[in-house]
This record gives sequence, C-alpha cells and structure tokens, in this order.
Amino acid sequence: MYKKYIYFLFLLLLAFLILANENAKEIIAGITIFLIGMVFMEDGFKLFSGGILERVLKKTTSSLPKAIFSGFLATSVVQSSSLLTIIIISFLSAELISLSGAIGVIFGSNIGTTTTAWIVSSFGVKIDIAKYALPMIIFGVVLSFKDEKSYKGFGNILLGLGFVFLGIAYMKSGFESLKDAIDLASLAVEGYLGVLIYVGVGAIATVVIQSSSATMALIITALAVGQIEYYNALSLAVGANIGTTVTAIIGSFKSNNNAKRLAVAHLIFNLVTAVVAIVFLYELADLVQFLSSKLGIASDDYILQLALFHTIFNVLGVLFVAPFTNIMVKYLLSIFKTKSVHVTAKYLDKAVINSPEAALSAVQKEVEHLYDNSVEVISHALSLHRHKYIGSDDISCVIEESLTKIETDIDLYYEQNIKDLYSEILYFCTLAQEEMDSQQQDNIYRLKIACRNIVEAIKYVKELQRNIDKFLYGKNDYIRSEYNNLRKNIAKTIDTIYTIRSLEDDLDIISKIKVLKDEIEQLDYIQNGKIDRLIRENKIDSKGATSLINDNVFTHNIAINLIESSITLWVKDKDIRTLGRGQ
Amino acid sequence: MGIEKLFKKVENFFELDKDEQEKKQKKKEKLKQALQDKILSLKDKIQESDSKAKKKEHKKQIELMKDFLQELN
Repeated sequence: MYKKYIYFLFLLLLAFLILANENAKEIIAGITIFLIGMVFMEDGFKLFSGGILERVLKKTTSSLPKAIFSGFLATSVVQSSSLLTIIIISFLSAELISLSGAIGVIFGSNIGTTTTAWIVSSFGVKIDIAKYALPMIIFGVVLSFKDEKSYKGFGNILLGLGFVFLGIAYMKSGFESLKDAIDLASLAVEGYLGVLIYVGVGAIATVVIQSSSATMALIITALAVGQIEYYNALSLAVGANIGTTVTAIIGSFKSNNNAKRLAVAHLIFNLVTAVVAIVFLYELADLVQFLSSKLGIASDDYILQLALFHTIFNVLGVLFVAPFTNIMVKYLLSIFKTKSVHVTAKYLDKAVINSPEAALSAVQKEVEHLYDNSVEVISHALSLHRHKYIGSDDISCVIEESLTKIETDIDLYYEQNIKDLYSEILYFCTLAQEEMDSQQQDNIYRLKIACRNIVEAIKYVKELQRNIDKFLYGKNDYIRSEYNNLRKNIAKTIDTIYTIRSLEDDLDIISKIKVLKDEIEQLDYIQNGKIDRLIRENKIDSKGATSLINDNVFTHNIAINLIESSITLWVKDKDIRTLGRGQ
Repeated sequence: MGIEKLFKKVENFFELDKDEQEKKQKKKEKLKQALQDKILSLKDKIQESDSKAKKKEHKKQIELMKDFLQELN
C-alpha cells in the first residue's frame, strides 16, 4: 500500500525536477540513458558470448582465490555484476559450484565493478565521448537487426556502449551548466559528519537508480566539473556500495534460498567493507595519494584517484572478509533451511529464466532430480531399498532376500514428490524457451520428453505394485519366482543407469545403455516364453497368467522409459544420441 | 529486410556457410575416429578380462560400435 504512494510521490518529484530545472532534466536524462546502455550491454553480452561465460565460470570456481579472480575478470569484461550474480545463483542452485565458490565470485565481482569507475574516469570525462556515442548507436542498431546471435549480440553491446557514453555526456553537460546556477560544492560538509551524510546520500541514490555503476558515473562527472568535493565523492562511492546491496536484498525476497544466501553474503561483505572504509577514510585517501604518485597519476587528478580509491577499498574488503568465508558459509546454511512436505524444485530459479545457458543447466539438473525421485518410488513399490541393490555384485541374491514389504502409497508419493516438481519444470521450460535459440529449444524439448518418460515409468509401476503385493507373498512358488525376475529386471536397469551416470565418454554410455536395452528386449521375449510354458504345464492358473503377462509388459515399459530418459539426460553429444536411438 | 540480404551477401562472399559444413564434416570424421579407437580399446579389454560376462558385454559393445560406424558411412 505504502509502496504505491511512495512510487507515486517519486514520479511527482521526478516530474517537478524535470519541469523546474533544465539542468536537472539533463542530468536525469543522462542517468536514464546510461541505464538503458547498461541493459543493452548486458543483453548483448548474453547473446554474443553464447554461454562462454557460463562454461568458464563452471570450471574456474573450484577454490576461493580462483573464484575471486574469475568474478573479477568476468565482471570487468561484462561490466555487469547483476548478470554475473544471476548466473552464479543458477549454478549454485544446480549445485555446479559450492556456496563458498559462489561467494568468492561475488567478492571478485565487487572488485570487477570498480573497472566501470576507471573507464568513466579515463575516457568518459576526459575526452568528448559523445562524438563516439552516436556512430556506436547507429552501427549497433544496424547490427541488432540481424537474426544471428553473434551479430545481434555485438550490435547490442555497441548500442549499449553508445548509450552509456551518451548518458555520461548528458550528465557532464548537466553538471557543468548547473555549476553556473548553484555551486553544490559550497554545501560540502567537513569531518565525519560530512562522511556519514554523503555515505547515506550515495546509498539512497543507488537504491533509487538501482545501479551502483550509474551512481559512480554520476559521482565522477559531478567531481569532474567540481560540483562536489573529493572527500565527499569518496564517501558517496562507499555509499554506492551499500546501496547496491539493498537492491540485491530486495531482489532476493522472491527468490530461492540460494539467492537469499548470496544476497546476505553480499550484504555482509559490503557492510564490513563500508565500515572499514568509513573508519579509515582519511588513511585510505593518504594511501591513494601515495599509490597515485607511484602509478603516475597527477596529485590533482581527483577523478582517477576516486577510481583508485574505489578499487582499493573493495580489494581491502575482500582481503578482510575472504578469510572468514567458511564461517559465513556455515552461518548462511543455518539461517536458510528448506522445509517442505512437498518436494519442490531445487534448481529452478526465476532469476535465471532470461539466461538461456544457465536456464538449460538448471532444467537438466531438475530433471535428474525428478529421475532420482522416481527411482526411489519405483524401488519402494517393488519392496526394494536402493542402497542394497545399487552397486551390488549379486543383484539376484539381493532381490530374493528383499522380501520385507515397504508400504508405499504411490498416489501420495506422486502427489508429494513428482507432480509439483514435474509441473514446475514444465512451467519453467515454457518461460525460459522464449529467450532461447532453436538449438536450446530442442534441448528443452528433449528434457521435457525425458520428464514424460520418467512419469510414465511411475504410472506403470503403480499397476505392477498391486500384483507384486499379491503374488510375491502368495503360495505359488512359480509365480513368485517370475515376479522376482520382473523386480530383478527393473533393479538391473536402475543399477546400470546408475553406473553410466559417472562415465565421461558418451560412447561408453551409449554402448552400455544399448546393451542393456537389447537385454531388456530379449528378457521380454524369454519371459513370455516362460509364461507360456507355465500355463501349458498348469503351474499357474489363468488369473495368475493374465496378471503375469500384463506385468511383464509393464516391467518392459518401466525399463524402456527409464532407459530413454537416461539417454536424454546423460549422453551429452547430440550426434551420439541420434546414433543410439537410430538403431 | 534489405540489411539481411546485405549480410547474406557478405556471408556468401566470405563463404561462412562453407565453414559450417566443414565443421559438421570434421565432427563426423572425429566421431568415426573415436568409434574406431573405442573398438580397439574394447578388443584390448576382451583380451585382458577374465570374466565371461564382461567379455560378452564388450563383444556386444563392439558390434554396436561397428553398426554406428556403418551408419555414419
């Protein structure tokens, strides 16, 4: 309720500023153009990289120093910490990286964002970048009309960069004109009171603008034209770091626990860094001056010194907080725990819907989760415990000895552990597909088919369970032996699939699956022959024979559905998958 | 759209399509080579293995690899 009024008041204030003051209009226009540029750059990089960023991050976050370096490098290149955060949340959700690795990337990303200040300080305010902005926008638009992702992506990057430059030019021009009317520098407050006031202003500005990069551009341009004092600019930069955390915290409210953990880690990091920077602001400023003289930055070049300060206090923050990462991980895992009767998606997060490669990884992991749940219910329905038969040297023996009935209500299990998960996967796929190219859409389609295979296997096991309960504990030894064979066939299928999951080579996987599939087909044939013989020899009655014939079909269908889903899930190469299915 | 045609012409001029076909052909050759290597390694495994069941499984795998090769040819 209040939110609506606050937003309305914000719009009124904006309208007043735009109408009342020509310079304010120019500065605000500069900020909005800068933000549009950031959005285009982010979209462009997503299209242009074609998943390279995701692939690199997956492999370079095994240790904390590596993760910090990867986060720094990736953010410096992409110039968007929010894009990186989204990818990291998806990887964390998909368990592709550890929480400490993800926190490391976020630390590195904080240092990486400081490169924006260097770019704006070095090029933005020192040369007339507006004249480069327009050609960039023109070529960017032309290229973005292309269908190919690389052209389109490069076009969007150019377009974004053009808008960022144009935005800076507008901000600079707005502040220059404003200086003739009001001298904001005369409002500068000395001492720690000034520091705290300006930290607050920087934080509020970032919460309102929703981008610390835009706030930094604003601070640098204001400093460049002398509208603010150097020390006040330093405080504003510290405030911008705090403000960006508030944005991340608000964004994580509707996300899953992983996003919340990362947002809190980010908050802890930024608050600690800010406290250190505020307490030692003057000492840090001295350090900046000392390093500037060593780096060849002029003593009166406050713009580059601000960029250096921004980098130094973030690096110091990392050095200060990184040793406590493990403690932070423990704390974060303890404050966000998952409690639910219904099994819901572990890996799907709406934050990654617009990042195709990350969304695809999340769906893959979630379908694997669905497969694992289905294996649990199938095993229990057959009165089998997975840990007893999977990896066993003698599955037949385990099956024959596993005669204690496991009470399993498949309908209830389906409702609690499968149905919601299946629906969530389908819903997520529908939304994620909008941003995907045809190849990625094909992958989503095959994953949806794998889900269907898994769910079908569960439906068949429901049919099978009734007779397992009836005949496995009945008096007829022949029919009991046949039902044990059916259990053995399914257990062997699950066991083989479990083995192939750890294999790296697609050819090994597909050949083992194909051998298994051929065996299942052969067993179906043999089983039918055996049933015929039992009927002829009057060893089973007609009712038992009918049940056995039907259940033989159900067993075959369960195994085939599991095999089909495993080909989709674990054979990575499309050509090898096609070869495997073509036989 | 005119610009699309212009890009197509540029692509044809630089034979970018050809690159795509060459890539596919190269991938196919790589897969054939991998299949042949796999057959050899399975043959080695048969000789090294003491288990009859394992030998039988490897033989089946070899047959499959040969079928895949035939399909690729």
